[in-house]
Amino acid sequence: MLECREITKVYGRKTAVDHVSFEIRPGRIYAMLGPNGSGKTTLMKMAVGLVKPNSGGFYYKDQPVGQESRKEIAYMSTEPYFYPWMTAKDVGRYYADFFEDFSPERYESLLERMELTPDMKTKSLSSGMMAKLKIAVTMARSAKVYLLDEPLNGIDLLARDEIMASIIEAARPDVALVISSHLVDELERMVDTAIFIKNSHLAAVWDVESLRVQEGKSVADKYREIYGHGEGQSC
Amino acid sequence: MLKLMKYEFRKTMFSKMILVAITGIFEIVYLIGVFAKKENLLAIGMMGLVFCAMIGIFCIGIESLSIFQKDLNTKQSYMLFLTPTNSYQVLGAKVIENGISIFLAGAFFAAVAAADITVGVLYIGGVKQFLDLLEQLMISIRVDINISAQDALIVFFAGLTSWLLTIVTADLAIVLSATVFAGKRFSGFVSFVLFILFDIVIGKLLDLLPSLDSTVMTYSMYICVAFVITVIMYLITGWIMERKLSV
Amino acid sequence: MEFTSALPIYLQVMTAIKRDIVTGRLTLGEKLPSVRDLAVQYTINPNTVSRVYRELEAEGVCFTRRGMGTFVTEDAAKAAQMKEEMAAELTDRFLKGMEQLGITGDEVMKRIKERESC
Repeated sequence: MLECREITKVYGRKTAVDHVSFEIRPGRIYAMLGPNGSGKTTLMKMAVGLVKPNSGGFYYKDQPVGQESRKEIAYMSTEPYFYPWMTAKDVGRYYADFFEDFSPERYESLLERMELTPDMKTKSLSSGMMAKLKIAVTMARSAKVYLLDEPLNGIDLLARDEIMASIIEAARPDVALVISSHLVDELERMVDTAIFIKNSHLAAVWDVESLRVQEGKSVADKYREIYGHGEGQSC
Repeated sequence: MLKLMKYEFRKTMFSKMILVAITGIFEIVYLIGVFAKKENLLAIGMMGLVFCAMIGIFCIGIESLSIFQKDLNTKQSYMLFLTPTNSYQVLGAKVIENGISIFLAGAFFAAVAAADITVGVLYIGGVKQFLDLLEQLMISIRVDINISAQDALIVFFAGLTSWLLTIVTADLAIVLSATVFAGKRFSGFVSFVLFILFDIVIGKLLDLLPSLDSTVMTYSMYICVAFVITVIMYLITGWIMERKLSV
Repeated sequence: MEFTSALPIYLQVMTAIKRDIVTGRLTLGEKLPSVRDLAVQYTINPNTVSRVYRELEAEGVCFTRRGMGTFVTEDAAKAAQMKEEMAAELTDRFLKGMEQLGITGDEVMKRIKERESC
């Protein structure tokens, strides 16, 4: 459904993404794993056209990503980006204006679950509240692909449960979710497939259950294996 | 694109309200001057209103560019670029919203001026100098209108085209700078330098246009050429935004 | 619910559901949560839940009525069988653990009787 083909992005002398190819299929939840700077965020941004690749590209339903694909792909960035003059309600209206799949009712209910109110001003939100607002507005869409960059970062434990619940609720046979996160342990139970990005390359793609069955490893174990200095190393 | 324009307008609403507020203050000063027959207040009010009109319209134009600069160089860009719109629509919405704002501002100040002059004339019937002055003003305006109604229209369109060209040139400069220097501090400075450069080049280009028989013809040709250049630059800017710009 | 990384998650959920049936927390014939609801409840992938229900159905522990959902078996004998299997497994594990400590046979019985009378 969403495919990246030999995609490369270079910033000056630094290669952020180096000839990465993988496919995101519907009906699955993916974890995109890797340390900071490995290229995960750049990959997601290229999938929605915020960043333009140097070569290769992302294709949604076989078409290059762009205006049309953004109708069905929802992206949540790590950085805050709402206009400072907006309230939570304004943000909802903005999304309703531009995204046909946005549900104001769902947004209201998510705001409540995250203990946010519609009249809160974006410029006065703490980082935790901002993170929750971003999730709320993204998950209130009924997209076909969700790209969530560190959705659990900076979020208190209770709100994390709500966020994970809303992610699971969004999972459908025709929907794919890609979650990039450091919290490997927390993600493991929710995820079908783990994509490991290392040093701007695609290191491995593992189906979570297969990993347990074939190698007797959890995703966290595999993570340590790939990024650590060998098997059995603990952080 | 209407939705984009709606939000472009909302981005500038605050400063437009400030402008209206300041205009209001000077208007009150002027009216007090008229009704209380205090010449100095009247003069201050009038000058203030003219000042508001000129600086205000200029600021509206500049603000659109400054917002564009911010939209491309900060994370606020996500608001625009995550939507299912293309860069041509985004750019077009900004230019059109700015045009409408300037037109409305111009109309607003013209209406205020007309009303103020009428009030002044009607109320200060006794102050002969003022009346004479205004009469002279009215006459000269009337005379201008009588002689060159057609010219006035052409001048208006030339002004509009010239403004469009300037805005799109500036937008191109901003986009180019943002594409190369995404987010860096001096991106604004570079856009400004690029704009001046483009402006000079385009100015030289337009200077090459020969002078035709009548002013109407000359101006018409200028309008057509400028318009074509504007469209070309709009398309180039849109293309760069769509294909090359990373935010 | 916390999961151990030693076993696949779907197996652990299956065991949990079987235990609930045996203890009576889930009654025979009771409707099980929808795939989505169970996924949210356990905070796991819905595909995992689908697999759980599929495997449980293959074992005869539950059955699916199209359009209505998944239900616990109404067969009491099946529940009794599950109880047997789970008890046997627990017993085996206990005995094995004791054996590792070097405690067998009569010693084990003695200890059980001691505990019982407490």
